[in-house]
Amino acid sequence: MAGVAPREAPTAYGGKGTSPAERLKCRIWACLAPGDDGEGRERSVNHLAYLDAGSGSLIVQAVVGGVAGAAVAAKLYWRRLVDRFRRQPTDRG
Amino acid sequence: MTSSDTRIRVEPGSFRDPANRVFHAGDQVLRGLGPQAARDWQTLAASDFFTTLLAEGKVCGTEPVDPGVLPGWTAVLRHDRIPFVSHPYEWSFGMLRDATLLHLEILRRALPAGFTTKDGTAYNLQWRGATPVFIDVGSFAPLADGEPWAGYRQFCQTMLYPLLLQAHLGVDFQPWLRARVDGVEPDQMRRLFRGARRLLPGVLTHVHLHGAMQERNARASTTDVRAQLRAAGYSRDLALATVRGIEKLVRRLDRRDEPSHWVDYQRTCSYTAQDRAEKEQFVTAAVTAAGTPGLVLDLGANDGRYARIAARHAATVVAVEQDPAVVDTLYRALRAEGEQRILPLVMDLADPSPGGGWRGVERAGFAARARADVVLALAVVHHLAIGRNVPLAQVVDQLVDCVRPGGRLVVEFVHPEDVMARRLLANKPDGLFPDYRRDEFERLLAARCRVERQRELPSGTRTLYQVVVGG
Repeated sequence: MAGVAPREAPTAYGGKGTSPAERLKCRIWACLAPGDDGEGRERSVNHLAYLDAGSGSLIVQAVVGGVAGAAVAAKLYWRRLVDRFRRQPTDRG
Repeated sequence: MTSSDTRIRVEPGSFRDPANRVFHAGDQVLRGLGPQAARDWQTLAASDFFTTLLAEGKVCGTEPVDPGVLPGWTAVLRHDRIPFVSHPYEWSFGMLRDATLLHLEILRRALPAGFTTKDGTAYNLQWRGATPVFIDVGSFAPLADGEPWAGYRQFCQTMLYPLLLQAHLGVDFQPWLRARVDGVEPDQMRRLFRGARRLLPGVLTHVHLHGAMQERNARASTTDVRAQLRAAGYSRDLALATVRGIEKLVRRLDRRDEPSHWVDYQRTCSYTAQDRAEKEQFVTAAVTAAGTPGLVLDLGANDGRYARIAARHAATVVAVEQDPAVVDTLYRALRAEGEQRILPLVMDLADPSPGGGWRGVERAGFAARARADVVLALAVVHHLAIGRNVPLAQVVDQLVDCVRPGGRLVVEFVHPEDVMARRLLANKPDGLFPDYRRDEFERLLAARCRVERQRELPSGTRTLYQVVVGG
């Protein structure tokens, strides 16, 4: 299992047999490329969403909204990062 | 103009949003609303911003009617009819830009009132003459605070990116939109805007960052991302700031002026002043021959000289021209004049818009839309028959097929001896067009139409015909 590559982060992260350094690396990778996110998040059913708005297309709107928007995007990524580490003990269990 | 056909037909382009659907009943355009959409409509109809937009003519006229006309729907709306439905790939740069600005203005005015639009496609807009109008009333929905615009991706793909292609690269956007009903993908745009082009206005954020974010979040659900953005403090004010920022960007974009042969055509073509005067008289008499025509098609309209003459007597004139730069110049002039009857469109008559989208019927082809009371085909036959090698009989068929039964065709035949015809023939081998003769053209016309009158122009190398089709 020592050869787990960051590309396989979604399955490797939290998995047994990986070293703490690899798990940290995988968690950071997963936060920056958070395609696997979403476990346990509050889900709001949105009747507007007949259209797939595109996750990236939603986030980029914050970034193009000026300084305040960039701050929102930064906060979003920060929260994702923090959430990863907060959930780590549970994942091990 | 009314139709006796009162059968209810589903609009083939209206199926993506299950909450509402557009139908045709005779000449009426109806929209069925499901339970949630009907509740949203009640709120929308009572809002100031929407009633103001309706009064300003920026949103298509809409009124509720008896729901019984469309069984199975909770509420039914009737929309004012758009005189001629066109597609974004038939618009010039200025048209797409003005349509884009209208969509953004509507969103900017909807947001403070607690509304948004569910989508952001260029197909939400149509035209009354040279004035854009927002038609997708079913797109309005209450805004959930803290949520970005769901239509942003569509907006980029069908409006912003085509504008960037033309403004930054000088590339005509029409073939791109015609080829893909969903527009240009961010990934395609990123490949076109490499190197220093990344620094052009709007490219770094709306193209590169957008594409990169899509890649990195490809597996994140939009529901989760919405919740995360809300938790991070995304607000209505921020949504407004984003829309204002995009509006500012779009206002900065303009067409690159590329040289075009057709821009100067009226000055360089071979008409004498006397030819022109007689041609104008002939066209006026033909257009008014049967009262006020509802729809006139001017095929090969160039600078719109004859479209303008027709518009004095017709309800709607669609001026079709293949050169996007010529159409754009005409559009800007018409828009500045506040013209409400002439719709200029970009289209090559030798390659007319096909049916597009789902099953090829979601976006109707030109042939399916073109049933005019009067068709003007002035100085186009020789371009098709000689310039594009279309057999003369098929040229006549195409023109006649654009006329409703009983309608009129006004067609000009440029004799092979004319200087413009000789210029075209000089580019082709001798004897390639043995049928390109006046007597053959008259025979073909007479086979499908009744010739009402004809006149040879004073220069002696062009003849005008006024014919009735199938009447």
